[in-house]
Amino acid sequence: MRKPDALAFSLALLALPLAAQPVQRHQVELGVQSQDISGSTDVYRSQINEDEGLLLRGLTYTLNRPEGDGFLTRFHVDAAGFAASPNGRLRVAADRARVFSFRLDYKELSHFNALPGYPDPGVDGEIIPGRRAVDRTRRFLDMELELMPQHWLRPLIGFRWNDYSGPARTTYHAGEDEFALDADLDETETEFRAGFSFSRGAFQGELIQGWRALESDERLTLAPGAESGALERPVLGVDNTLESLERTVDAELDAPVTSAFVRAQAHPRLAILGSYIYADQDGESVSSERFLGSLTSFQLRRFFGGVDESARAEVESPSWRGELRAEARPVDRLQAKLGYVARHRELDGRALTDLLYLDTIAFGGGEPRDLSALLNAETHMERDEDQFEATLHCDLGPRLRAWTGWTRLSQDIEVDADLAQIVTPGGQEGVFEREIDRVSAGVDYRAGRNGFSASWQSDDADRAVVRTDYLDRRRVSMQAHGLVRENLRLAGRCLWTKSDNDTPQIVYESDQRQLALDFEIVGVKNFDMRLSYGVYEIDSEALYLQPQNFQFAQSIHKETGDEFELSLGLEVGRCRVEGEYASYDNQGALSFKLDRWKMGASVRIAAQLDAIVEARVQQYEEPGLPVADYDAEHYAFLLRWRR
Amino acid sequence: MISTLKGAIGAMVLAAVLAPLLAGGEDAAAKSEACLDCHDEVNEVLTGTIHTPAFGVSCQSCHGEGLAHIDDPLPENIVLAAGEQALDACLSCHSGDMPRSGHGQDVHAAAKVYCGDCHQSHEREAASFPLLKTPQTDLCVSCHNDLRAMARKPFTHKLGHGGMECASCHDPHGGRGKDSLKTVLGGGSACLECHAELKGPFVFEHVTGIAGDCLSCHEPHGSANPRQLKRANVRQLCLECHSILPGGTFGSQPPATHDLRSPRYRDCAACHTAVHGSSRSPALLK
Repeated sequence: MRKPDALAFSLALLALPLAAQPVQRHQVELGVQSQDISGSTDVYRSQINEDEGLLLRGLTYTLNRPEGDGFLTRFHVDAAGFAASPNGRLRVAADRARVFSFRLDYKELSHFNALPGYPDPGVDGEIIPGRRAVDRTRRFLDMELELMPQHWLRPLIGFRWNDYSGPARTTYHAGEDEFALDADLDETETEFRAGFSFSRGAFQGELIQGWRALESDERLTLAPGAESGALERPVLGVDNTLESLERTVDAELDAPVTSAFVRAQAHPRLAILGSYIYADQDGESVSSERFLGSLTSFQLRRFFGGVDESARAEVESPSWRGELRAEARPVDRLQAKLGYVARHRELDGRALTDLLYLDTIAFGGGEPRDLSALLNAETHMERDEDQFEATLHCDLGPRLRAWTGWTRLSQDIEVDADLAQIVTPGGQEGVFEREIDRVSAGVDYRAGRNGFSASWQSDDADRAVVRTDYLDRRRVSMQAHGLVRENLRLAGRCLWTKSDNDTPQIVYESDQRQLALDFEIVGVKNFDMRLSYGVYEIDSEALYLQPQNFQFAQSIHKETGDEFELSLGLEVGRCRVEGEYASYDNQGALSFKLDRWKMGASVRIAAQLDAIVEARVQQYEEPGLPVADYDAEHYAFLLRWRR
Repeated sequence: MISTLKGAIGAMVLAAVLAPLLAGGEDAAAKSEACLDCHDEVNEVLTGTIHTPAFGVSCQSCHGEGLAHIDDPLPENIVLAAGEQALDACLSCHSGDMPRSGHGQDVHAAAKVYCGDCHQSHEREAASFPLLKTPQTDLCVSCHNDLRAMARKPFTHKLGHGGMECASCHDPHGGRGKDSLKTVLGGGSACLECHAELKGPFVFEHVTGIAGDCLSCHEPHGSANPRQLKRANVRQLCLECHSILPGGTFGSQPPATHDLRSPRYRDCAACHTAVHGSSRSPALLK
């Protein structure tokens, strides 16, 4: 099990008030799960990643008592997903009326990814499973204490901790070959914050000062068995091999952050809102790398026996965002909003890398020597955005509202040389400007449990900053839900987005369509049913230049996904039976079929105790890459105890 | 980490101890007493919520004085607010929460979706924190049902297992970002709340924070493609931007040494592993 510590943590927290006070209300769903995976375990874990063993599916506990009876007026815990689950969460809310309000949120998220098709195919067209893999866990804790929660001025302090650690397998280009490396990362982000929120008369707002720090420590070494690299043929007669590789990267970042918001109800019909955020990020990293072997460099036009490298980098990046907004209701049925948002980000980076190529020999032979190279980079970027927006909402009766809006977004990006020289050095710097005008309109109708919404949006840009930026984009969406009969609820939603950029030599076009329909039986005692059907389609095309011959080719991406779900629940006496079938069938660039079945039953074995049995089957098939297929079966037995 | 955690907890405990010296308020229990004489079932379901006299909330806070209802206990003689009227009743107390969440961007209310559509003020199910009618993800997809199909794709954020839910990224009461997205304290995108290691800044940055964001390459709600990418082939994703430069677009053309007919060049990320940014390699190789 991956999370015994978190489980123990949640249970210990639960035990605190249990020991001291009578339980007011609680529910625990706890049991064991077994699993049987056949096929690609890596793909299964990349997509689902459940485990077997103890499973805490749900836990809630709530204590509430009259003021003065104890230290806490209210205590609430809920947890879900710990142990045999990919994600787990624990939330705690503890309040002492009028004195404090405490919130704790803890999450554990497992991150596993090892896909045979990514980033393969390998050097010689072969699939090399697990060449790039991640098996890490993210632990996330956020605590906040608000004082005097019913007072007009509420001080608060908070603390956030985000830890991401674990092993990974990555690829590395050394010489003219690719080698597998084992990586071990330990990264922790912490943030303290303190401030206050207020609500006094016509004014509401908050002011928070935060201090964020990041520490990262990564170690990489040559993976066992990776000495010969991925290339199985010699380069200029030399087999590219590595004997050893060791790389370390230590990075630190500090960032004080200020956030302020205020809302003033200047008049019963007019509210003014303003917000401002400022962050000043300041980071540095030190890294070293040493590898030895037999390698080729076309850049040096020499063979070499290894590299000894050290690098130091510093980066500063202040950013801010300011917003001013006015919301007016000149007459009862009309609401107007005017807003202005400005964003600014700049970045100054400096990197000094000292590279020593060891034991180099010219391609023609002879001249053995070490070669030194120095990379002294200075990068600078500034990005400014200004956004004006205006919307008008008009009530056309108690149930119908129509609205229209206009937004103008202006982007101004200035990049000095060096930055983002992803592939080819040089030619990256420049000033890039873009202006996007958006016009939108829609209607919303609500009548009890029935509703309908429709919206239309049109974006026109004067130019593109990157090639996949649109010049024109249209979006239409419609949604309706309601009871067509007493017990039959229908819900439907469709979206259509079309983007294009007809600039010669780009000719980018993207057409995305989504449709979802739900049919539900509701309000029938002891019976529920839902039938869902969804379609997702995308057609996207763009021209690109083939690097080997500078001829144009067309990049085409297509997806047609059909999703179908049927779920049923039936309660008879002390038993409840549930069944579910879902499938996702995708055609296009990556064809696959994903089927899921679930059957479960719960029986009330005592007044407050249910026994639950459950079976789930998940099958994944990729016709283009059968090595990715898997078949996962899960069986669980749980007890649900509530009071 | 343990020392910083101890420091944070210590500061919170100290603040909690000092707070009673500053606190004050009135007792709402007496106000509710007359109501609960008849509606004792309400007292039962309210247990576990903050909508109790213990928190200064009386029945009258939401349902009005109710004198006519006491004289003649008909439903029409008491305020049973719904829709926009209920919004006003809820905000009479919760308007103070707005600075912490919505910042005035009331996207749901603007579409005539009000508090009572998602929350129930009288808690009936203990699992519905914070007073939600159903578990959160189910609640969101009951209207945004196109996202149910997205979440059924093979590569997703694994909703429904307890760790993540829609509100991990979106603020249903209105966030600062586009589509009611939450932002980190420093104003960055909701993705960076968890993926802090990708936040940078880096000496050599990629598209995020310059000319695009995470959504330039990734599908957050679920994707048919590995790593929730927008394209099934990594090279396709890269080359659509990193190609020719007509009209001053930002990017570059790939070098002629990269022959796409060779499998080794068909996945750019095999060598350019630091695609999210690097402080060592201008070509994002490490």
